[in-house]
Amino acid sequence: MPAPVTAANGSEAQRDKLREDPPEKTCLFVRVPNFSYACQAIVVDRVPALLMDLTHVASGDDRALKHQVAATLESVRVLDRETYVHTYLAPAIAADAQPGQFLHIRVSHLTAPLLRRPISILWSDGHERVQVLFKVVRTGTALLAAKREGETVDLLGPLGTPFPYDFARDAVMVAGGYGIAPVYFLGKANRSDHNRRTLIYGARSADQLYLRDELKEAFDEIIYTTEDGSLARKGRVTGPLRDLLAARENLALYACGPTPMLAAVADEAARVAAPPPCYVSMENQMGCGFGACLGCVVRTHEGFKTTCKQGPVFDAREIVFDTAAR
Amino acid sequence: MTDLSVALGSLRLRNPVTVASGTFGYGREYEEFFDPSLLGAIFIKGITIRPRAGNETPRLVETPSGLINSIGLQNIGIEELEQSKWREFEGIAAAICANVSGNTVDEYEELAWRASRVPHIAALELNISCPNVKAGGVEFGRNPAVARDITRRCVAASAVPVLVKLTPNVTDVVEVAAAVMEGGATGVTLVNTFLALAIDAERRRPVLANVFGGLSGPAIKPIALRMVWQVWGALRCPIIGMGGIMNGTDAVEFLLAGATAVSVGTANFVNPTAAPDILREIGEYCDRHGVKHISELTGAAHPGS
Ligand SMILES: Cc1cc2nc3c(=O)[nH]c(=O)nc-3n(C[C@H](O)[C@H](O)[C@H](O)COP(=O)(O)OP(=O)(O)OC[C@H]3O[C@@H](n4cnc5c(N)ncnc54)[C@H](O)[C@@H]3O)c2cc1C
Ligand SMILES: Cc1cc2nc3c(=O)[nH]c(=O)nc-3n(C[C@H](O)[C@H](O)[C@H](O)COP(=O)(O)O)c2cc1C
Ligand code: FES
Repeated sequence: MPAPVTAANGSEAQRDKLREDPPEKTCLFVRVPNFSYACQAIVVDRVPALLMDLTHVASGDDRALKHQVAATLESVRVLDRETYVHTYLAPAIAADAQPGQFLHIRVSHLTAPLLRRPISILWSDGHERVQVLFKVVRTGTALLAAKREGETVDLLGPLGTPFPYDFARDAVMVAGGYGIAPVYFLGKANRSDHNRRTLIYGARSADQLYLRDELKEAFDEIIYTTEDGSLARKGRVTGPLRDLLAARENLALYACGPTPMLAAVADEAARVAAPPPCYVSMENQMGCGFGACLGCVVRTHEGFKTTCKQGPVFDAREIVFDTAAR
Repeated sequence: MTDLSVALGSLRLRNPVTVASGTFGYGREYEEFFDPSLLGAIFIKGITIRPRAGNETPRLVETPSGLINSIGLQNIGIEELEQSKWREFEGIAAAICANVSGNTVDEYEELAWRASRVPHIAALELNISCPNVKAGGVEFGRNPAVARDITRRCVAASAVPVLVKLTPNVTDVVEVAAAVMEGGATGVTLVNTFLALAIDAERRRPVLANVFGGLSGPAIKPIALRMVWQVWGALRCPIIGMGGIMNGTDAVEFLLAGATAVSVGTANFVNPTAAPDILREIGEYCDRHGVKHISELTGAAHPGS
């Protein structure tokens, strides 16, 4: 299967060329809001007239569209003392957001904290609203949590690479902690009868497994794990993952969580006889968030790559997981 | 309307707002946010003879109103610049300036010769001040005699004006500035980052893989401003001032201290349209103060101006 093509700006010249010189067969990737770009490729004879009028033509140029917006914080949902869901009114970002991408949020207009904070997109309605789920760690996230409904927040996004998604394989999505955010988006955006979506979601204890009601509608099957055994299976996500990999075939893995978890997921995927595709969303200290500072690099087998622009989603086989991280 | 065009010796810029090396990629990285042609100049990421992978991570750490980086000059190398990367400069009206770094004086000379002949390169910036690469342990920029020698040889080799970027990690910045001007530099850019350290108390280890890094951002602004003041006061030479410029007022302060143009670095990461915003704010300041030509501001805070 060719690499999925995101809806990129087709230039007028590209459209003219299509009109003048229509190819015999065309593979369309039509991105419907809410369904990310993972819609099935439709192979058609000739170029349908409709395409000629679309403002966005898949052109093979996969440069994401980025926006800096002063978004209104429409609603705040407090999940627990340190975990929040923010809903922002940000139509430009919502229209382009895809699962796996993140927002770079300016939490203060003063000079400290200076840098933006990267937070994954939890959900986009495709035209108006984007949501994030975040945990208060220190100053930056505490300032974000202190924002009130109606305030404006400076958002940059959507940034980074989205998860590729393959409808021809059953999806196994693995999340640890707040890593649930992009995984939820991925599961919910790709609801379909074409394949089965299984979520394996682990946390330290039951109260840190968030959005359990919402998750039900996004996945066909959910397996929880807790390290303290307060809910479901005691232990880590790798236990049930190993079982699934042994019992089923034709899978694709998508994971987001702490780096040691991602390393473990990559290991599990590589252990089986026919390793399934495995995509991981990496975390890293960031400066700019769009490829200019080279501060966020991760080691890959092809040298350093930027987490913010060439990632955060990578094919797990590319990543050189630091042995110390395991 | 104020005339915002500036001249640093023979180097003419459409306006005094430039973007600092290492913070703006190779010129097109911010295109989705604004048209790079709006800028006076673009200082591209530091180029070396061979491509460099850069330092291990973590490479960045945030400090109060500052950022410590140890990127380690990750770059494509002069050959790729010569062969293909230069094509990306086509159509950008801003002056493209190549920031170059050598391990030896010979390497500087070779880089000056080659980089200055890359199409669209309007000027060179000799980075004799990077705290993140080690050559003989000390930055060349700390030794006035060495700095003069490098400048002289690069000026002779170069086909375009040569600016020299000075390190603030010296006792007397004026001494080094005087040396490079004597060596034939068109002007100086100051300052580069301050050698700095962050420690993680929990882990009892330095935060950065490279241990030390260079501090930039608002935290360094008062010191950078003082250095621009001193160099202008002593030498009256063309200066591109930088260090923690976040807004138009910061930029005007650098002009008043003696800079002819300014450079925006870390602010680009926080606000990708920082540079055009700053240009607009400088224009507004000039309108408010009835400034006819931007050069009236250079050094205007000095006594007797
Ligand atoms: C691509 C990406 C997606 C993320 N998605 C989410 C999310 O959906 N929900 C969520 O709660 N958190 C997410 N994080 C982590 C979040 O960015 C950090 O928790 C946050 O930056 C901490 O800021 P602070 O000021 O509270 O902490 P401090 O420790 O004071 O931050 C100091 C500096 O370190 C950086 N930093 C600290 N922790 C991390 C970390 N884990 N990853 C990257 N940088 C860090 C900060 O950005 C800041 O520059 C994501 C990180 C990345 C890289
Ligand atoms: C991430 C980063 C990378 C940098 N890379 C270079 C470089 O390659 N060459 C150079 O001369 N200066 C480099 N610098 C220094 C800046 O050009 C500038 O001198 C410094 O950051 C001070 O300005 P500021 O406070 O506005 O950022 C870098 C700075 C940062 C933050
Ligand atoms: S954060 Fe600047 S390059 Fe990734």
